[in-house]
Amino acid sequence: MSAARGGPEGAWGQFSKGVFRLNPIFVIILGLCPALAVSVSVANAIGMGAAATFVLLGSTLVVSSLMGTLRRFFSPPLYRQVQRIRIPIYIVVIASFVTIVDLVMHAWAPALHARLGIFVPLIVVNCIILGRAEAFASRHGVGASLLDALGMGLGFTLALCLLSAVRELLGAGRLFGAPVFGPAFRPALVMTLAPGALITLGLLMGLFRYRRLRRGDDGLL
Amino acid sequence: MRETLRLGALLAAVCAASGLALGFVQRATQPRIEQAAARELAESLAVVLPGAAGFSGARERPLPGGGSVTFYDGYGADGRIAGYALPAERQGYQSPIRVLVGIATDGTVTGVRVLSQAETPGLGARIEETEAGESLWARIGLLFGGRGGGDAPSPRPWFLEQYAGLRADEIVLRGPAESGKGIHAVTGATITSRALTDAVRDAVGEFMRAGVPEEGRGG
Repeated sequence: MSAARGGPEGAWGQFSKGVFRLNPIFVIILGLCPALAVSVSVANAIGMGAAATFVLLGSTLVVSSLMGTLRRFFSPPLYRQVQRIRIPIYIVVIASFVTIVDLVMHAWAPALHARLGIFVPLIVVNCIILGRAEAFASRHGVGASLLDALGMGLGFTLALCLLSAVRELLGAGRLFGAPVFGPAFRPALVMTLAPGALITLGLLMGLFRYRRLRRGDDGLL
Repeated sequence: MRETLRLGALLAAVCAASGLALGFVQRATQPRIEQAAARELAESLAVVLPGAAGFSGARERPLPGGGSVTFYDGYGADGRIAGYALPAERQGYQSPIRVLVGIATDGTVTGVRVLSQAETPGLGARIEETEAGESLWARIGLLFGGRGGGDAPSPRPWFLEQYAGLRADEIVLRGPAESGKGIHAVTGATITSRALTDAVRDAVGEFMRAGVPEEGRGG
């Protein structure tokens, strides 16, 4: 799986592909569990996006430099052996960064920490992070990997914001928790529940797909 | 065999490095986490017992029905007991709802504050909804600083305001449109409203059945 085929290989390409062309939520369709659960309000979405981006950047930095170092200093047969335990290594690295985010958020943004609850520790099993570690960071240099992580994190955050803005606006008539419409507005409660999440996600995915088809850009990777 | 040892050693090294890093972060964040919890408790105590000027540390007393309850004494400006604050918890629609309840010495509720809940936004989560008029930025400031962005006192959630002044036997759940004394449920969130109402009523009822606690030390 070569993540860069068919796209510009420059720094801008590495960064921007995660935002639109390979958006983790709408195009690669990874990390849907937190996306569906957390996207009820824009404030939650930004907090979750920032936390996941930090974990993505940290684990990418460690994974790409560690695997790069091992590749350089180990003989090819030895490196092939190491490759057999690469997934446990990624998991340890990712879990460490998630714990760091959890502690830091608990200390400096306690209200946000209370709101996101179990979804912060669950970043450990967010497929976007393990996916980028395996598909990109372990095979590319530190610089390219960090750009990739930043783009993917931003794409994830923007997708969450888009999803949650639609849901919060239609489902609660609010944005960032503050009322937007007058008292006459009757919110569609279904939008704050699970079905609303799936409907919104489906429509937005369709929009991204339509855009790709229009541009004749059909290959996934 | 050698391969197993080699791979095991590598994995152990990665784990040790991560453990070391986590140890440092934990030591750096622990004091702040404890401070934040203490500040949150002090804030909550002041909200549920608005008449009190100072509070005791956590105290514990047995309940007549078995078990025990943790509570805090609230002291008025004259140094006499103004009331008590006690935590209560009940399973809501999709999350445990933890609240702090303030009780005056005559057994009426002085205030209720939700300590934590993760109910459905737009439905159950409206137990913490405040009247319109808050600005967007004050709201964001609240999320990060724990304090509002503006100078105005933060508005009280309308659902929780209903408990103030009621005795345990007056805390009954009514429909959103029903009239009469009691707690009017949040529209579309009967389970959440009932859980919170039951939690407050049972906490206050049990606490008062045990009689007014004897005076402790504190200030």
